Amino acid sequence: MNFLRRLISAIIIVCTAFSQFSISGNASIGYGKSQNNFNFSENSIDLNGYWNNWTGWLQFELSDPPQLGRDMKALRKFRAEYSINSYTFKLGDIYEYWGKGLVLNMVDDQAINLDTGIRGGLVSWSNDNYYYDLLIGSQTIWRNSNQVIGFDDRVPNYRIDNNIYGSRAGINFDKTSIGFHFLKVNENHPNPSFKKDDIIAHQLYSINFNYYGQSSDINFEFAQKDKNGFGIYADGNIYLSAWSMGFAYKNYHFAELSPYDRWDFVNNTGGALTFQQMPTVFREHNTSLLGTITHIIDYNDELGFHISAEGPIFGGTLLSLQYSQSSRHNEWIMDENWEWKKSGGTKGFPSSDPLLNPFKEYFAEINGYAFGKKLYFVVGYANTEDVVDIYLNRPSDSYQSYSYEFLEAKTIPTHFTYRFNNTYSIDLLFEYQEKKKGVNLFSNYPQLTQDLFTSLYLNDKQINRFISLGVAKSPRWSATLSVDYSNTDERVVLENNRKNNAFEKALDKLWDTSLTWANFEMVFNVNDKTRLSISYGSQRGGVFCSNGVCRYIQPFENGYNLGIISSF
Amino acid sequence: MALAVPIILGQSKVPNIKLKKLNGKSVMLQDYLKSGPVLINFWATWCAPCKKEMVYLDQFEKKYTKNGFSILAVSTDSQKSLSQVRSYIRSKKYTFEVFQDPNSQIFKKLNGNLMPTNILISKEGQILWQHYGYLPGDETQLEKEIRSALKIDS
Repeated sequence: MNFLRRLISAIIIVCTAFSQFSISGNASIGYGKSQNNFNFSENSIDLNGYWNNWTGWLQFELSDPPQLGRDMKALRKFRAEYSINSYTFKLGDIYEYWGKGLVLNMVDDQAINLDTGIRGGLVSWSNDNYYYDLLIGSQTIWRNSNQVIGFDDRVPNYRIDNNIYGSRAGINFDKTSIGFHFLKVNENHPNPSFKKDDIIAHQLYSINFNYYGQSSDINFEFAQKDKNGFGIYADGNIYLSAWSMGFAYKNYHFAELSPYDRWDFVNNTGGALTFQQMPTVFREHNTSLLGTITHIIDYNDELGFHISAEGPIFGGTLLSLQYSQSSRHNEWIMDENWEWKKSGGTKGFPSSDPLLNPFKEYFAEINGYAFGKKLYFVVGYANTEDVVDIYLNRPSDSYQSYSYEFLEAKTIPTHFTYRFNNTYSIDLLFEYQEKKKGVNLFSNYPQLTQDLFTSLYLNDKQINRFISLGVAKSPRWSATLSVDYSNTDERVVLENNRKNNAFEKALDKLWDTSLTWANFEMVFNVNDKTRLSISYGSQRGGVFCSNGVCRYIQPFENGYNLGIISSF
Repeated sequence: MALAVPIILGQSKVPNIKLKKLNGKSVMLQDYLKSGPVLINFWATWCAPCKKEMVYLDQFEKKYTKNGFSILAVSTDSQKSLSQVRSYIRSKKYTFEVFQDPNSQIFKKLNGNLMPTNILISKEGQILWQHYGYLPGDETQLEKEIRSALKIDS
């Protein structure tokens, strides 16, 4: 009898305890197979558990191989959190951001294989007016580098390990707040030239201030790294009824690297660390063609600004006008030994001098509804100029020769969705782009005088068109045919001799489809929590940017792609 | 069997998460659940379907707020584009509350995977309905779920 009583008591206690325990999660499956061997199998499950003041997170991954990144067949992430009163304790994989990210902004963006979280612990205390955090942990960051053997577009080949500890403290007033951040980092930086590890110590400090009022807001942050590196960021908005005028400014100067060394993070230590994911201060585009010409920000050496005006014009239609400009701080010139040396430059504002890698973009967009909200529309225009690389800059007293690679593009992205009733709709995306990309070479040396533009394409200009036509039946399914085509491309693409799929062959009657990538996708919402997508065709490779970080994604030629997402 | 039942009953509950407003101030989800059901909508300024859906979210906010219903629009814009969020919301004159989740930690905690993700939560903290993505017409089902959560006859 005693045993029975104890057994029933135990069952009641366990049941009571478990009745407070909640588990949920989501799973995603991605599988792709293509003729050009861009094959992948990427699967993950996230589990979230909650019990009283405890929360827990586990992420399992089974990828062999993933689209981008290293194979993984293990518990990828875990974290336990406990909150009580004003305290929060975290143990495991932690992703924090401080201020505007000039010192710390940890992200896990698997679309571009960027993971800058730490595995460690966080203690946080906050009330309405004050907050204080203590952070300690270690992180491993994998990056792609052609300075190390085994370079591959998809699989990172260079590993950096960091041990991090730091703290932040802040005060919140009614409309303002001030924060102070400190971070100490020991970076284990492998040096392939000497086949050893370099342990480099870094210290970062920052102070940030923000004001949030009814008709305006301002953010400011200043960061100092080691002895000479610094970063300044500011943004603000003024609101006049529904209109807003905004500005943003950046001055990032964490390292000074010549045009030759600029992107070589293996042989040049110091500089901005990977978890310093700062605001880019230009508009990041997510349309197909504009996304491929996103400016690649140099967190070590870039200053610039962004201004915008946005507001309604008529009937709820929104107008947005934006302008961005940036450049490096200094010009670099070659001496008599053809070695790069820093020369004069600009102090507070970006330069338009092509030898300082200027970037400029004008962007305008209107979006809204018409015909009683049956039609949703977006029409934009972008004019982009970007000096990507400096190859030569050799001045003397009377003469100069220089060359640089640049890009100019005019892009018109549009998007229309028309709904026939509460069930059926059609969706049309059309984007047109004229792009000039090449090398300018100038010399006024005697007997070497030239002023020459050499296009990287077979023609002077590349004309790109992207069309996507879809039909959808809410809430169940959608079907979309996308076509991306160009009149010309770089020689390495043209020599690829790609084969056309059935959709591209059908379009061959209308135009030369050697540079056409067509893809058909169907999406089914099996129920409210489960979504299945299947696609067949080709997707053009190129630069894909997210969170200010860009990756080259190789083309996906004539293949199948299956995706399942489900929550439970 | 006795063990399985409470586990099943205990599923699909949300923790009392801390949400950060655009002005940096933090609030707890429970503060909104005290008044009635809540719809958490994860979105971003770069997400076109999110923006298409928002005009209907605003309608539902205005229509059902008197019943204790709240919409919490959580922006997953990173630090790169976070400064555009307030301008966008003000220019559209949306009235629902907007929060920031620049590192997508709340998004992952509530099993977000695609944008937009909508999660309808009862006053007791139970997840009543969850949906990924948006197709024109989905707002009809969303309104049905809201009315069911508020126990309003259709």
